[in-house]
Amino acid sequence: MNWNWVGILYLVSLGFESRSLAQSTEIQSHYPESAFIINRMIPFQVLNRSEGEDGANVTLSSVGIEGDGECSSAVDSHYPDVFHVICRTPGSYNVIVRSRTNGVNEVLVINGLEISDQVNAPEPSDEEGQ
Amino acid sequence: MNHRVYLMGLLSLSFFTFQNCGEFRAQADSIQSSQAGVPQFFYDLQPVEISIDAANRKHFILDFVVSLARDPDLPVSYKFQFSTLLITGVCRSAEGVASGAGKHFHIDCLMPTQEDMYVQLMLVGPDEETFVDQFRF
Repeated sequence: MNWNWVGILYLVSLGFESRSLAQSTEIQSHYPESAFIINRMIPFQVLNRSEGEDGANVTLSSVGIEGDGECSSAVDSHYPDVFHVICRTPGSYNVIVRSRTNGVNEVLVINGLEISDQVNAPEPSDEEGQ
Repeated sequence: MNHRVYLMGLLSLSFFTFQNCGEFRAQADSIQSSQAGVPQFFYDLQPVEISIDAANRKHFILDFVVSLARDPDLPVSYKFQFSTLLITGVCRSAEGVASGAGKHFHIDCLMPTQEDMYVQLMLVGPDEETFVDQFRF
């Protein structure tokens, strides 16, 4: 084989490698942290921010919660990359999410999800009268 | 002329039916169950405080949070309208665009009466997807 072709194939393979390395999966909350209160179902979305790709296929297989309080979670029945957490008691919880992105299994963790029993929110700044 | 009177009567009856017989959701109901099919919005409305002041006015503070289900980074337009069974616009309506930290805020309503308050919430997404829900407090 011509060495030029070997070099090109090597560079192409490097390109694929860097593309796979550029993939990053992260958990994003739909609500601001100020809205993390007891008895509220809080939606989270697992996002894959791959370079040069739109809408990588993320599917959640399970969601678990560690903590001393009363807390439960479930994968959304309509959005396979969304899960919900609802806690009956305030505290700090760890959320363990098992996902599959483009055929690759991953375990994602939210460490120290703080759930409060105090509601605290700013007033809307762009409120208009009727 | 008779047709116009008949039409007005029919509209009034429809409005009365909506106000009195419509299925308004209680304050602690699950939010998403009211959306048929695939939910376009995630949202929650909870009372923080309901009190009666010295002038016999009912004061509501509601806690609200919203997000677009398909993309949490996109903004959502909202509009709240408040009424009792007999009075519409019992409080100043509230409308705006929710995004970022502003997806969570409080709604304040000081009613001149002590009746139940009916809240109509309208949500509009960036692609004009629209959703309306009602609550009774």
